[in-house]
Amino acid sequence: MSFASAVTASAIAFLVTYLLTPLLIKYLNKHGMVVKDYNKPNDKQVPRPGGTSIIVAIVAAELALFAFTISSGVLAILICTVIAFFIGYIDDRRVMPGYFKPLALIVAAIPIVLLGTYDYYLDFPFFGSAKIPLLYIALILVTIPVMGNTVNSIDVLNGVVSGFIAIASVPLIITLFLQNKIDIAIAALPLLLSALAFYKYHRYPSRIFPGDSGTLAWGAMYGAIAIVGGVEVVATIALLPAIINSFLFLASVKRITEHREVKVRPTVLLDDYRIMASMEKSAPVTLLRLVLAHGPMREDEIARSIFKLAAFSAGMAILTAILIGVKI
Amino acid sequence: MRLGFLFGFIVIMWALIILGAFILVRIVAPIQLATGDIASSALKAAIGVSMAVAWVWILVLLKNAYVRRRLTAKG
Repeated sequence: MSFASAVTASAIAFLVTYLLTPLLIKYLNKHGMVVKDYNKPNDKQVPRPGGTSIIVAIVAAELALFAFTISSGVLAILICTVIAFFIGYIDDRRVMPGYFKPLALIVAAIPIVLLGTYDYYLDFPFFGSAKIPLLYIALILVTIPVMGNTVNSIDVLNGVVSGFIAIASVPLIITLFLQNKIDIAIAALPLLLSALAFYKYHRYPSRIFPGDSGTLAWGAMYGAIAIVGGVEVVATIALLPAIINSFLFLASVKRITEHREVKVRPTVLLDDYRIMASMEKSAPVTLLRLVLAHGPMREDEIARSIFKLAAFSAGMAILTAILIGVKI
Repeated sequence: MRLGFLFGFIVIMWALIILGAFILVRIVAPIQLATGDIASSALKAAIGVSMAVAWVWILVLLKNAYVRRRLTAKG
């Protein structure tokens, strides 16, 4: 039963994203729903948002899984992801202020609280668990907006966010299987498979951008799986490169704002379309700027560097998951 | 090594999470004041928040030192 549901959910997530995205590219192009790709010559326009094919795939896969399991955890993950998609879609269609996404994403966290699909223990390596019954509800309401916006913030270059989510979801799935939380592990497979299938079209040079609807759906789903599966610490460690990106940006600009509202850019585009770190003292510090600290790089080279960091963090997260079973 | 600082930063963040877990689970959680549960919880929350601020401060210091060294040619 578990094997059949895992194969079904995975196949639906991958195939729906893989087959629907080219149709979505045609539709978005036809209706002029395109944005400029700033790091390409000749004012290249790329269709956006691709979140629609991602959410259709995730909803189809999770509904199929729900039919197998009737699990309230799967339902909570699904509703949270769908709400986050709509919040992102509003931001894709209208320019919203910087505080909109963090505040609106609190709504996406509410189904997890209402369905009671969490336990209030935080598991740490070596030292056991911390029981935080009241604080945990506040933590849920903070985690979904933080994870959603953190994943959104790593959507900096062609292919980065889809590749990053695919890598970061692997330790989550491995940990859930190791801890015998099979339903939630299978519910996490559509996150990995939708990201992998979308990467085919999003990788350098991008044929489509996921938009906020895609990135917020992935980020909120990642956070929901972490909470419902009780693997919050492992999920946080796997996400460290994106967390570092958000942390560096917030520590630089000292307020919650959209990247587009920052006057001095963290990077500079050279005549040969390589990207260089800004040497301006007032430019915000971001992950991208630190990756470029040793000199200019091509866009695809930067994406590969970020994937190396993601893979390293994923390894640390798996190590953490193993160490959670070790008590000193 | 181009990504050396960032790999190091990830390891330091991981170590701070583990150290934070030790302080919270082994030292802070067992604290029980004679004045009652609310005072105990307030003290634990205050220690937790102070620790988070201290961790952020350590990371900001590291980031600033690296940015000064590699990324600020002009003022």
